[in-house]
Amino acid sequence: MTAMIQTKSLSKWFGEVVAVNNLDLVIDEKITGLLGPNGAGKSTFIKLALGLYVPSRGEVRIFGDTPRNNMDVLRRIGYCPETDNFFESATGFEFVYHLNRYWGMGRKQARIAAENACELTQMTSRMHDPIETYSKGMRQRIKIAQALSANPELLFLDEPMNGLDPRGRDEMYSLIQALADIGMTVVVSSHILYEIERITDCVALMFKGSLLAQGRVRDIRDLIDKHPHAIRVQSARPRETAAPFVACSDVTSIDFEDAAFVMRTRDPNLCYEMLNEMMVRGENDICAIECADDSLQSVFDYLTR
Amino acid sequence: MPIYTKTYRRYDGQPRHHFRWLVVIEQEMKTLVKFRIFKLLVLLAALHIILRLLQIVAYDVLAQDPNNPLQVIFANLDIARIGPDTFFSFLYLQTSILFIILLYSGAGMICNDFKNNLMEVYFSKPLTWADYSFGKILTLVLLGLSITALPGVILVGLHNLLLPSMDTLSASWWWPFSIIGYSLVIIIPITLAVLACSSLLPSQNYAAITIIMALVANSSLGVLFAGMLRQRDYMAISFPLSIRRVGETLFGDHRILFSLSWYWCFLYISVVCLISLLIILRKVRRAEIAS
Amino acid sequence: MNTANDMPEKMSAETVPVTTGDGDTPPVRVLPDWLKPGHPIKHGGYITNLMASCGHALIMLTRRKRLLMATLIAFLPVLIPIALAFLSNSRFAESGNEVFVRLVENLHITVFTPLLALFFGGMLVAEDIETRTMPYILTRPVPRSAWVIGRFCAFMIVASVVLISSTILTFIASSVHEKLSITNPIDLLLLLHYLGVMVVALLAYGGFAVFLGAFTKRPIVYGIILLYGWQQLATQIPGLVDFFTIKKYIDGLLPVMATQRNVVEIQTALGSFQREVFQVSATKSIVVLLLIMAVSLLATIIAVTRREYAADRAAGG
Repeated sequence: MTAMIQTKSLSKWFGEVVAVNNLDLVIDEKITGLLGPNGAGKSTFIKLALGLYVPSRGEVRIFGDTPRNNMDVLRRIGYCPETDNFFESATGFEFVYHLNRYWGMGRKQARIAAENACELTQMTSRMHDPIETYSKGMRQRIKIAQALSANPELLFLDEPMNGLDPRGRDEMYSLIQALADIGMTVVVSSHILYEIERITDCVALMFKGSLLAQGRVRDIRDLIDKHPHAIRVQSARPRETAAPFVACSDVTSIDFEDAAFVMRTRDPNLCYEMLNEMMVRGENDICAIECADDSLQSVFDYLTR
Repeated sequence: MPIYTKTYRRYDGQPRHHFRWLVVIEQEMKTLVKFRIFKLLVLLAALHIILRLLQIVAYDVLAQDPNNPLQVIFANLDIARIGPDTFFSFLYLQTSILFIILLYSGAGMICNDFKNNLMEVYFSKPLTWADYSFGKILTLVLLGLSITALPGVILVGLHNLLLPSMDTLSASWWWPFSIIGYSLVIIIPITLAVLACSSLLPSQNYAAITIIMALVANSSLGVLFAGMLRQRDYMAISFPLSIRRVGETLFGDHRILFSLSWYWCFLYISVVCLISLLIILRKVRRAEIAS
Repeated sequence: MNTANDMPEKMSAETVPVTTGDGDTPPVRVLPDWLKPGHPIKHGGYITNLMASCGHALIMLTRRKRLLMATLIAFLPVLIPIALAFLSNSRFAESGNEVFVRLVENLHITVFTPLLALFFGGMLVAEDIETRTMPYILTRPVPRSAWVIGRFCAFMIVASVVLISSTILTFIASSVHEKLSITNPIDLLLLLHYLGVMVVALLAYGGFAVFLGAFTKRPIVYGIILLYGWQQLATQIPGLVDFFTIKKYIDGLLPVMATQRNVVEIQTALGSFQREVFQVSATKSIVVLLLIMAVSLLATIIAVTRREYAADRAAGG
């Protein structure tokens, strides 16, 4: 079966600056987080996938086809850009309506679709006001409205949480989840790890134009062998609890806190087994065991270090 | 070398209290020279200057040398003769390219700052609306002078160096003043009008086309009125012709286009300058208050 | 800063918060039916897309205050015949016919047509590039040709309405003088002739201006250099250089009476002679002007299709 998005040696450079470098990527998950710091090449990748840029080398295929000026592909894509640019002196409704018309909708259909999209993004009460009067969060919502208005199969959201307040972010998270639940494929780019962590476990990590890793966060972590796994153990007597691990050759360090310690090991399974046995024996009042570094943050830190 | 902690550190430098507008000029100039088309336009202007330079050298060296076979040709060629007319026509022909350069450089100068929210950045620094406005105006004025008055005065100097006599000096001592005066009469209204449009309109393209529309419509109307009413003084409605009329007076040119006194033309130019200046200052002042 | 307006008035009825252990899981949201599969959008054909582009551009053009400014300038010639009636010492020096012909040829056709083309046409594509709204349009399934032609149609409608109404009013105003009457069929035919020339000129200049807007960042400056610099220069240089101007072919469409009067100020005898000899016929002029429009629009479509207009392409961004 054809992947939703597939790139092969995709590269894009502007003059001497390489924005995307030899990217081989397959996206087929319902929600994929495109993660990377500013300048990682996320937006350039999205623009390449939308056909806004011509690849300098390699190719990108959406639904098995090249996207640039391909009406069949574009008909199935929605895009919410990162920047706040709108038609001059247009109202929110007009903005969505005209873009719906460009989607090939008739007048009536475009109007109804624009109203529905505004309602979905809770912009109905302000949709007839000029966009210039909108707050940052409202602008973000109207951009989402235009992207969803024609019910696309594949949705690109470039930094969609920008400018949203906490409540707006919660709304956005739930909206993205709901869109994925009804079968829409969503690609969300962000440089904030927490945002991506809240909506998906499936990420593509980008850094300086290259793909560092792709897949589920825990799977990626497991593949990083050169960094010892960190295990945090909470215990009333941390020094006594840590004593058996000092003898293990795979344990590289142990750091003590007030009622806990963090050990780094190359063989986490052995350590977990030992801890389980200690807990079963009821030794040293172990309260909690947690993996301290399979969060997206630590995975990202390891990969970009 | 001092070692600083990674905390907030006060700025050690001394803020500039005078000539703060120099920063604006410096920044604008740096921005402009990055554009290839700007360099090309300046090169075009320079070509004309080189041609005039060749003319002066040819006339002063060849036409004054009785042993040179080309002497007869140059001595009798009116067009090659160096006089106040030469510099008047130099500046008059330079006006078109000057206008395009100032339009290219100035049309986006203020509106782009508004569009990119740079006004807030400017005024968050120790920079006042007066510094900002003066800096922008002076950028264009200096740019204009560098391709009109500056080469003009240098060419007069060169003429005196090549023909070093009291006759040349007594004939040409007033030319630099006329050159500077006429250059300013051309540059200042264009600068102020372009910047006024730039501060009024949201885009550099619209600012440019507005200036052009006003200028072309006004010139055509002046010429049409003069033709239809059989009265050449109506040509003064045309802004470029009014500027020319002042130039004719400054260079003592007797081939005047119309007989209306240059005072009226100068007044017309001054009023346009004043209105444009008020627009610029008002818009910039408002931006400063808002930020 | 997010304001109170930014907050939804109440939690949507479709948003059902779900209690979770860590409180980090987003609330479940039920989406409306139109977003679910099985609600496909009916996509219109080429004409629908063209109409969409034209309609949008019409709204954009007519809503601006700038249109008012352009209209005011274009309507200035209407005042001239009236002013002449009051100011002229030799009232009968110019007949109504001559006043009208002079104004239409020297102002409407020579000055305002290229100006309006640059003002409206030059900014048709350029404005979307400048305001960075091109990514929205280019990610829509609208054929690029339909989008360009739609916009061009909008330009033609607006510019024609402004110019034609100004010309008709100038005609009426000129009829206060002798030898021009709004009821005389010959005079009306002359008016129609000029209106036709104006529309064809708008097509050619407009097409060229749209191309400049799609191809250059500063279409106005380039337009001025080409239409006012090059065209003026070429018409004054003796020889055949003026064949490389649009004006040459527009002049070929003017009534014979007018073209004979078309004397360029600085003209050598040779230049005048050549101009008479190499006068382009009306048919050829129309063909060339339509060709200029077609080639310009084609080049615009190619530019829009092939160029990368996503302006904020900060390296690595």
